[in-house]
Amino acid sequence: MTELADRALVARARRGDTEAFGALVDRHRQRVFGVAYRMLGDVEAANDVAQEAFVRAFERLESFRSSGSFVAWLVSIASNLCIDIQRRSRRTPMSLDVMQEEKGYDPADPRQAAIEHRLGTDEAADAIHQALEKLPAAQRLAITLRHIEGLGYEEIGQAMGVPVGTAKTHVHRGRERLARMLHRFYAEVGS
Amino acid sequence: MECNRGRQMIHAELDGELTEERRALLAEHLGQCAACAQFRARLMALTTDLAALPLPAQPEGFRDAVMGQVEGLARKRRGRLWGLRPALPWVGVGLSSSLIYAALATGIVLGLPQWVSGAGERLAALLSAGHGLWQSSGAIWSYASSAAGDNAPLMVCGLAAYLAVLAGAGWKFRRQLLPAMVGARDA
Ligand SMILES: [Zn+2]
Repeated sequence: MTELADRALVARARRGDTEAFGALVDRHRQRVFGVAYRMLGDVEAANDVAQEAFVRAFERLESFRSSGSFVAWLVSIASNLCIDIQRRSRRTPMSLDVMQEEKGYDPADPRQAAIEHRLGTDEAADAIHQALEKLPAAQRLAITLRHIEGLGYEEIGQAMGVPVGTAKTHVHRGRERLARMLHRFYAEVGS
Repeated sequence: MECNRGRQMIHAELDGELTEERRALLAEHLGQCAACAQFRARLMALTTDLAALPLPAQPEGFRDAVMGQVEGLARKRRGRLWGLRPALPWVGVGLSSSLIYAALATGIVLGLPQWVSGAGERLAALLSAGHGLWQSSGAIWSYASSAAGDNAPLMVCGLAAYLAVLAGAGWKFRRQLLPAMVGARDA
């Protein structure tokens, strides 16, 4: 359903209908920003990347193969921009206090409550963020797409430009690595 | 069952890809292996937490910033096509006159052997140019030659001039019009 609607909007945007492209921006801006934020750990940089990704998508709309997923195509543009930025700056992982300053999320968000329920504080979100930052880029992206954005393996493979099996391997390795890094937070789970 | 296989099954379970048969095998292993049971519980907690990870608020004005650039690109794209508009009549005149000239030139080339007395018929037969083509080229030739006052050198010069104009137009098309058209498409 979403895919069908995306394709119809892409077809209109290709004919020069910028309002249709605006609708695509509305539908996917949160996700593209989210992926960029998990990759870069910085709100401003993620916002710039998300903007640039949409502008590039508009420029290259002709090259989108309508058999594929538009979201995956968009995410591949954004994640390539993130990888370029990381290569250029080789930025160090953010410190905890910078992350806390930048968070500014809504504590009333029900998703927030799930984590706070587990550990009683928002420490968990910070710990997970820091662990994510330490993953190799491919695993971080794969974990983000699978478990934070809820994409299927087919789409993840398309977004990362790798076969489905490779996408799965990245996710599985990322899960194990995160669990090891976060063993103290999950010490009382299942023991 | 080995723990290694147990872990693979736990990943498959998280991916929603565990068959009933393997699910039973896994349950059996988990009943006997505390390490795998703990591994499973932790991965489940981790994936639940990842799905619930908060996202910072996106800065204001995102849509406007994107659409401002998109509108600019769209205007530029339309502008390029619009800029080609004054050239369109010339392209039309060029194309239609080219067709006329091409027919004329073909006639002249095919007509030349006819003009060289006697050799024409033999060459035409060799070329198997066909009777109709032969006749019509002959007609075009008569028309062109009468227009040129039966002056063969003048006609050959005209042909050369025509080819030069054609080459010039082709060069101009390749260097100027074509990039503008391709640019308008790719912009
Ligand atoms: Zn085991």
